Amino acid sequence: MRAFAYARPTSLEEALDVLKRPGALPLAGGTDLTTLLKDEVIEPEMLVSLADVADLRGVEHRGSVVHIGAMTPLAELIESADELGLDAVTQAAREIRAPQMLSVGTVGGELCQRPRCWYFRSGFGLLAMQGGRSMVPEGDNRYHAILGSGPAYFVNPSSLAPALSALGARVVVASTQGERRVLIEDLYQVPLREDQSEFSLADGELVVAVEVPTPDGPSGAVSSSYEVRPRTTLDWPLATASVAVTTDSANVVTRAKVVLGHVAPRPWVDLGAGEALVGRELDASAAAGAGAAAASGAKPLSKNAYKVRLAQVATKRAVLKLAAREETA
Amino acid sequence: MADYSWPAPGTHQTLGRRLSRLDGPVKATGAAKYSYDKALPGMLHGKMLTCPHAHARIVALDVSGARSMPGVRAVRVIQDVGSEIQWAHDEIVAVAAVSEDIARDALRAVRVEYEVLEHYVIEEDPNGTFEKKEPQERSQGDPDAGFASATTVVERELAIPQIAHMCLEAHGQVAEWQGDEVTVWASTQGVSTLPQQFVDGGLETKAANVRIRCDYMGGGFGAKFSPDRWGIVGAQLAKDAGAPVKMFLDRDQEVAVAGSRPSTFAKIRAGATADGKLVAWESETWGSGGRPGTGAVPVPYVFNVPNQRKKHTSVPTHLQSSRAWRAPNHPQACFLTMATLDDVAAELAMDPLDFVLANLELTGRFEATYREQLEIAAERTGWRERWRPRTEFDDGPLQRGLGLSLHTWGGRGHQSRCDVAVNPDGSVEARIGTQDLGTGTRTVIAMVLAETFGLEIDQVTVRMGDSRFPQSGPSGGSSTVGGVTGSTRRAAMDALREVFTRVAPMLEAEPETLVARGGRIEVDGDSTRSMTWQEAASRIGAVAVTVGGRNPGRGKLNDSGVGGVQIADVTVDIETGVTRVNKLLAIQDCGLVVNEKLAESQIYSGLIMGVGYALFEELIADPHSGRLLNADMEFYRLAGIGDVGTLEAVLMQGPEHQERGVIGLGEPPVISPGAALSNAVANAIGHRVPRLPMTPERVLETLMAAEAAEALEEKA
Amino acid sequence: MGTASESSSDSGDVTVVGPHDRAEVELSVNGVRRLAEVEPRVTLLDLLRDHLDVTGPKKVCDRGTCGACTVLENGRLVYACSRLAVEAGGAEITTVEGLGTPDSMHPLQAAFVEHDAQQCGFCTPGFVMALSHLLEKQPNPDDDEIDRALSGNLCRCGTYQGLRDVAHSGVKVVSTGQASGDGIGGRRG
Repeated sequence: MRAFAYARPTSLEEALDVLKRPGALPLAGGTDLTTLLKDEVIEPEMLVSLADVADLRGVEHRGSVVHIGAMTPLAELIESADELGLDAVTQAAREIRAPQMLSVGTVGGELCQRPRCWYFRSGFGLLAMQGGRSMVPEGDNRYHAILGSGPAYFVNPSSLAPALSALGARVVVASTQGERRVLIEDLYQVPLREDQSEFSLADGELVVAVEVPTPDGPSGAVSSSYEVRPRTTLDWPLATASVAVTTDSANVVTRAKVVLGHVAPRPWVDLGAGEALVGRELDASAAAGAGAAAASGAKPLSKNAYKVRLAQVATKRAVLKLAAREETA
Repeated sequence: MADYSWPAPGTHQTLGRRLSRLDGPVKATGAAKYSYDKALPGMLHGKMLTCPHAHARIVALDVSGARSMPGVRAVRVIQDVGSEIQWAHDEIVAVAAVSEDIARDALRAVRVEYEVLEHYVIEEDPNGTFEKKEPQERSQGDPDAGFASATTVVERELAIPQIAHMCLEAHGQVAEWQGDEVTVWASTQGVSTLPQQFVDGGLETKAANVRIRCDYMGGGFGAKFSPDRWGIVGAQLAKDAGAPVKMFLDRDQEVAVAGSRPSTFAKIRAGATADGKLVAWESETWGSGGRPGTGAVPVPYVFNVPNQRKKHTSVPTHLQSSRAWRAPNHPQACFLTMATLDDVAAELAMDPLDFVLANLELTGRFEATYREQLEIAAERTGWRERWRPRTEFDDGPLQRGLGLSLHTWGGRGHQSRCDVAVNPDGSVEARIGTQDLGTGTRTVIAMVLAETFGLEIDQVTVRMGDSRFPQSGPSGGSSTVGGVTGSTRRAAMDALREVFTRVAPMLEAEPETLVARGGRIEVDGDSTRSMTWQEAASRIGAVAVTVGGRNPGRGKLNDSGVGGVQIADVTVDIETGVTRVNKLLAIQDCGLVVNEKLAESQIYSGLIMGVGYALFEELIADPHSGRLLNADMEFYRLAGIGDVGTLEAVLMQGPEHQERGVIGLGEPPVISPGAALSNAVANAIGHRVPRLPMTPERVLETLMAAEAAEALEEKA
Repeated sequence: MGTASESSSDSGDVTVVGPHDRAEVELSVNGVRRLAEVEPRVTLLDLLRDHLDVTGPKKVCDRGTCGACTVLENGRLVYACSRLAVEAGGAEITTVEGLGTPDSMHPLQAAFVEHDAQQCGFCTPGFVMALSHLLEKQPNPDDDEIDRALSGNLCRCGTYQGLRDVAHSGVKVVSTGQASGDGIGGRRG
């Protein structure tokens, strides 16, 4: 990797101040960042370590939200989220697997990791443009997007984002100008030009926390995630689905949100699948209905039609997990 | 004339025991210093700039920026202006610097201009190649008559892609000069053959001045027989800089240039009569092993179908030249053949086990072996009770299937020399120019010494991994264990006879009546006339008894030719396309087993690599850039511990196997898994997944195509 | 962590180590205090291997995938290739060498030998560390726990059968690496 400067502030104020410098990037767990540096996909002037920044770590109730510090290690999130009933999040995080990742990888880092698109990682850029055309549609696109209409075909790599999005979470973004809150799905944007980012963050902005609405109502929102992965070992999902629903006393769904992962450049809030659940009793038939409704409008590329089916199956199975939970409850 | 043999079956002291590998403790504690771990005083780090294009010509090259960089000690241009580059990641410039980071900084300062030329990397459509090769055609019998007599003919298009060796220890070496002599600590499968290859490759010295060391190595699998360009240039940089240079490939280079197995694509027709007899085979195959293309694979495999017509076309691509990958050509041929035969059986509505048995006479020499193995395999898996036709399914998305496959291999011992010394203090040592790839070579040599001298394994010493020792062949093709045990046994027997000759008078016996057993030398049948090994050794005089042995040589110590049968048991989720291995069973014939524990490990190893190429492994080239898209360990997927299921290894053992002597075991178990797993998946989902690896996308694509075909049929 | 170079600049109150400055990194490696001066871009793995000659952890994928570089950092299992050395300043690092020696193996290492859970042995140091981390918390893991605990490690030769046998062997692992800086003597388990 190229040489870079290194700063290790101890307060958020200091960190935000240093991050204003041109070419400065925040360093959290570093599991993705070191890879990007070695592949010279990014060439920052300075890394700003968040390791010693106080108050960025931990999971706790704060009023009507569960507050998750951006520097909370994934392993810690799994333990806490389990207690807090954020099942979709716990399940998604657990499937990242490798203890070496879960120990060091952080919630903020997981959300802000860069796409695994092999054209991007090979140095062809996020849009993989050559001669004014994307290499992806005629290239090897077996793991690329089936939803969204270009020009970006990479998929959002986060496992947590769809789960957090299903639960209506927001990220807290800080800069020297102050704080703002943004829905998880809006942390991401689809770049239209090669000089645009896949994040909606301004220069100098840092994700400092995630806030998940506390499950409310008498029955509470229940949630689950399902992921299809090739191997049991450390691997990337081919498609994921996270589902959060609220049911009434008759087990009829009153609210539902379905978010697909690894199928589009952003976490894909699947309105059709969500609507298919509302008004239905939470059972196998509702699961099948949601699955059939999912990923509608998908436009698969030459090698990834199978992902449409996977997105549908993941949706169905995520709902089935909830239905099974209702049965045993 | 002395006779050389193994002790009679039933009289072994050490052979066949389940001893732990001798280098286990140093490896498990991290104390083993691999070539990659070597650190010498003043050592520099070498790195190479490689070409980003699959096909290009160098039009300008400027290394001055690298030369002038502080910390850079030597720069070598490997390919200069005018050179035509034939695959991405081919080496252009090498530097040696005081740290790896500075070496990389220096490479970034090199300016290269390329004229990018047209490339061709996707051999699926062979017509696109830039260099048409004449097809090789072969036939036997009367193929037309054969097909005419068939009542069932199956046509298939099958494919198996290029895969990587993915040795965990990358290719590379540390080179250190002392005067005109250079010592190279290499990660190599051939310490004895490398010195001459260094000179042939352009290193400016004599082979006699090149010493190769390799104490431990992190995997070879057929990819490490040569010093390679980086080896030569690494030694040259060390000479230029006057300091040792360590040069190991980065992982992306390792994948892109240091080892691949050729692909094979096939259109196959196979015909059988109504009673299930194979009568005709026709195949058109093509494939690529990179720039040189690749030769035909031996189809039909194992079954010598009476009437055959075969055509093979080698397809050059702008990818690295392939290397021998464990059991070269066999896994591909096995998959193409066994998958086709399994489909013929399905078409005939026959149990594939019955179909194989009905055609077993076509297997020739190993017919009886296969018959016995099939019986054992069927019993161990409950095949007769559990197998069901492809047309029957379970409820729900999880479908279970069974598949079987047969394979064969040679495995004769290579040329090997070994010196065995018995010292007056009773210590015994072997010196042999071989290497241990992790297969247990060091341990089996020690076991042969222990067996021969009647000692325990910790009373003998094995010195190896050094080209200064008597030369032994490179380790490939399952040739090592037969070779080194042959040379060691012959040397050890001669050394023991020499000891017998010297001590026989003291025991008032003829030397021929003495035996070495349990740490003593005694008159056979009269244990009252004996002495300890130490005492005997002390009587040999002041100078050690040192004897050389070689393989091949007199006496039957090793053999060639084995058969094996494997059965796979899988569960496929037909909604996600994910295949999980429940169990893989291997029944393997391998002659005299030197160490049962290590032999089983070799089988497990073959099965696991087999799961890898059956379900996960594939080199993926980008049609646009010609570069590999997965030259890493992230999207080039190796199987993990949770992906391989339960493994069961059954070694065929008994006097009749022991009498054959030692036969190599490295290759055979890796041949069948692709075929057995493919057949199991076909059995589970009712359709053939035509291409390995059987990833979720391929399984789903197969099922979706079948659904579409059914829908079309219903419409019609 | 301090800086060894005078050219370090300040940005407000925050000390910045320049790209080619050397930061002083002090670590405890297998119970021994070690000091090194490295640029910020040097990974923990390169620090261990190239600067301290601790070569048990291996460089294989160098991208946080294969697990051959796995070590314990303050009791956490980490990919040393994916940690910057400067980030690990002050940490207690335990590598495979910290568990035992060839003459005095840790029982877990002895179990690797007994069950032949290694062939070429290049992945072994990482698997030893990952398994020690699992078995310390869970002495009798089930297969799913084993699969998850070893899901960050890959073997090429194919030693998974032996590894599973080791995991099920009941071998006791006590305190192979600790979160706080005391008790190095307990390392031999």
